[in-house]
This record gives sequence, C-alpha cells and structure tokens, in this order.
Amino acid sequence: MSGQGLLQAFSRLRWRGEPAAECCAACRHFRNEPQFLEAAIPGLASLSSGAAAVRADDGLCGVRDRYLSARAHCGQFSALAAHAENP
Amino acid sequence: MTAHAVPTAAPRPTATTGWRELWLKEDWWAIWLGLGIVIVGYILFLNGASLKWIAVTPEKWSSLDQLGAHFANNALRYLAQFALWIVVFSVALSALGYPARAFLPSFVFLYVFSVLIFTLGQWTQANYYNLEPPLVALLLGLLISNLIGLPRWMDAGFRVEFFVKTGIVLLGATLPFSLIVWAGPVAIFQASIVSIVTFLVIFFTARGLGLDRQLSATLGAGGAVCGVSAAIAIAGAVGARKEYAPIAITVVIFWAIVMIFVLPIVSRYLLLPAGVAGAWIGTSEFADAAGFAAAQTYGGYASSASGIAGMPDQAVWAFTLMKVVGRDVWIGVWALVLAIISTTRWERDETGAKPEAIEIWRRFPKFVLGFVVASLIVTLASRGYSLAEFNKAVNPTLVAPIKDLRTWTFIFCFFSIGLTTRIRDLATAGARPFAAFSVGVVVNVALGFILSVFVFASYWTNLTR
Repeated sequence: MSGQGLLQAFSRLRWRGEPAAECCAACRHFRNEPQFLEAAIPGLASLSSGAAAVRADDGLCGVRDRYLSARAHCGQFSALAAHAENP
Repeated sequence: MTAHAVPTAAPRPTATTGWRELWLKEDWWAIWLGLGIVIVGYILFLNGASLKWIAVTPEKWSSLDQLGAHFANNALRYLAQFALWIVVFSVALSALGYPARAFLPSFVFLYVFSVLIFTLGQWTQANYYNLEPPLVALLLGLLISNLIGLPRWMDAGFRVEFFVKTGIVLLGATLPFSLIVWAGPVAIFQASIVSIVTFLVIFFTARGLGLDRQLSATLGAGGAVCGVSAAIAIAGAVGARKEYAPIAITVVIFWAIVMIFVLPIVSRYLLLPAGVAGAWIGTSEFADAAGFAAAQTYGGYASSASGIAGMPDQAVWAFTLMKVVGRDVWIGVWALVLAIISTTRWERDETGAKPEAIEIWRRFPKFVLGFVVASLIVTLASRGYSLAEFNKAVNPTLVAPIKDLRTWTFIFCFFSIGLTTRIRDLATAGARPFAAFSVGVVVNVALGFILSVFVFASYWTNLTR
C-alpha cells in the first residue's frame, strides 16, 4: 500500500463501531484477566500492570499465539457458550 | 523463561472498558483514592483542621534515643496510617479482582520495610553515605527478590503501578495548575521530539537487524513513550506474537533500572539545576515508577548537596510534566497510528480488527486526569493567598500532609519495583532486540540532555510556585 493508501485509511477512520459478534472477547481461546496476564507475561507487573487503562481489553489468543485486541476476530473463533455446552 | 501457554477451557474474558473501567481499571481507583485524600484534606483545611496527624513521617534523627522517642510518641499515628492504607488499597484491589486475603500479609511486610527505609533516609548522615530512600528501596527489593526470594503470592501487595499512579494524583495537589499550563506545552514539544526520534531509531535499527515489524514497533514504543505500559499497549494494537511483549519488557526493565542510577549520578556530577535534571530524567527514563525514583533521588541531592541550584520539588515537577504530560498521554495516539499501519500495510486482514479513533480514549492513562484535577483543587483553594500567607497557612496544613502521603506511596512503589523484578523470571530478550533498543537509549539520552540542558533550560530552571 502506498503512502496515499495509508492516508485513505486514516481518512476512513471511524470514531467507534460495534465489534463483530464473533470477536476475541466472546471466544474461548482468548484470555485477558489482569491476574492471568501478569502471570503469563513476565515483568508486566514490575513496571506496569494488568489492570492499567493503556492495556484496554487486550489479551492472549491460545490458538494463534498472539496478543490481540478484544475486538479482533478470525476464522478460528469458538464461542464460549458453545464450548460450555460441548466441552 | 517464555510466556506461559494459554490454557483451554479459559474463563470468560473480562470487559473493562466503557463505564465499567470506572471500577475495573486501576487508573480510576488511583483517581478515587488520590482525589479522596485531597478532598478530605481540603474539607479539614476549611474547618481549621488538617491531615497532618495521619500523614506522619519519620523525623530527622541523629541518635537512636531520638528515634525511639519519635516512634514511642507517634505509634498510634503510624498504626492509624497503616490502617488507612490497608483499607483503601484492599477495597480497590478487591474491586479490581485481586485477592485481598493475599494482599493483607504482603502489605504488612511492605509497610514495615517502608518505615525502615524512610527512617534510614532521615538519618542526618544518610546523605553522606548516599542512602537516598528511592535507591535504598530499589536495591533492597532487588536483593530480597533475587537472592532470598519471597513466595509468589506476596506479589499481591507489591502493586508498583497502582502506588505510583496514586502518588502522581497526590503530586498534582502540590503542583500549581499555572505551572502545568505554562510548562506543559514546552514539555509536550520537547517530549514529542525525543519520542518520535527514539521510536524511529529503535524501529529502523530493529528492522535493519532483521526483526519483524510488530516486534520493532513494540520495542520502539517501549523506548519512546511509557516503557512497559507502552510495550504492552502497542503489542495489543498491532497484534504482536505473544513472545514480543515479554522481550520488550525485559529490555525496558533493564534500561529503566540502569537509568535510575545513571541519570541522577551524572546530573549530580554535572551539577545540573534540579528542574533541568528532572526534565532530562523525564525525557530519558523509560517508565513512570523508575523515573520517579530517579527524580526523587535527585531532589534529595538538591536538598543536601552544595552546588545544585533549585528546590528539590523542581526535579519531581519537571520530571512529571515531561514524562506524564509530555509522553504518557500520547500512548493512545501511538496505538491508533500503529494499529492503522499494521492493519493496512503490515498484515492486512490478519486480525480482522478495524482501528477506531476511540482507541485514543480507551488507552488514555486516566490517572493523568486525577493529577490535573488535584492540581486545580489545591490551586483554587490557594487563590487569594499571598505567597507568604500560602507558606504560613496553606502549605503546612493542606499541601505538606498530602506531599507526605505521596512520599509514602512512592516508597511503597520503589520497594515494590525491586520486589517484583525477578531477573531469572524475565524473558530472554536476545541480542538483536537488546542492540536495537540500546541504540535508541543512546540517542534518547543524548537528545534529552541537549534539549533539557541547552535548548529549554530556562523553562526547567525557573519552575517555581
């Protein structure tokens, strides 16, 4: 993408939108509790915190091994409720 | 050590943004606690009373008899202060989801050692032996956690970030609002120059060394904006691999701790004025908690070492303006810009997340609002007083007790940095990330020095009430 493409991306920026129904926040592969993240990410609690505002609701995806926004989504979504019914 | 695996059958992810963050994010709890103290202090002041009784601190001492008499006469005040801290922090941490049962015993340990560290710093020979409380707290904590070791559950009481954020809100009450308005724009300008240059240097050095874009960006933000907090925020914004944030955190912690010692010692050697050194530390430290340790140490030097111009407060004020106002508040903008670049240029459709402008607010370090409001409250409360009247009436009954309580939160914080930094637990950073970040450190420190000492020195030297 050219610099112009980047400018277009900025110009199309929305203030906020509804997250996809099948986003990380509703996925069983995603974990973002502050205590869990402080245990999973060495050093996070030394000079920052799992409960800091800057972290928003980001968390770790166990399938894709990435640290993602809670509003991200992908084809490997697995609903929390479905998992509870069919573990 | 690498990041732990994410277990399956995980509990439901928590949603903490929107209105819920008012009670689910520690930034807001720092505001509630800090402003609560300031407002209670103001109400007492209006009624001819003061927080002074509960804001007890060790006095200067030169003999053990003197010290014993102080604690014998003030035991009840220390007990009351301990009870205050344990109640307010327990309530806040319980609301945030941390176990209060583990917090109580570890905070007892933290408070007892904090009293000892504070007391040592008040010894009349402390300056002679370089026993500045921030450095003693940090070193003692590092020794305990790395040589002796404490049970992991005790970390529940060592809330570095919560203590420093509460302290920053309290610090707002001691910083005149006019100073924020006068020096804030200069701080933003100076910090922006250094932040952008540092980010670009780290990012392109990392890319030149063959690191991928997400890791390069995470490292760059860690060096340029607000250390570990920036690294974790940008890792989420760009959808970094799970090992990238721990790598960036390791190098940030390493350099942040090195700079706690290097920046005040070099500033002292060069006899930099307190405000100038504070601005340099604010530009070139990598984390708020570490920076306050360095700035408060230099404030201690300024109050004792001959030849350093300025008041001790100026080091902390200049640091706060530069780091908090100049750098921290822009993390949301960095996250948004890098999220857009990531989703449009680096890994299109990789995560499916569409960047939104509200990201700037979501990631905004909200405790800064408490800092500004606290400054406004005390500035308005002091309106109509001449400087002489302020020093006689307002300072001892309203401002000084808040400052003493702030000093306690900072000592809790500095000791907690050491107690939670277990070197063997940190991720292995690798030579290339370490090299890329270190090149940024060199540029950052040099540029920060030039801007603080030569270009904007007049602003930082003249930070006065």
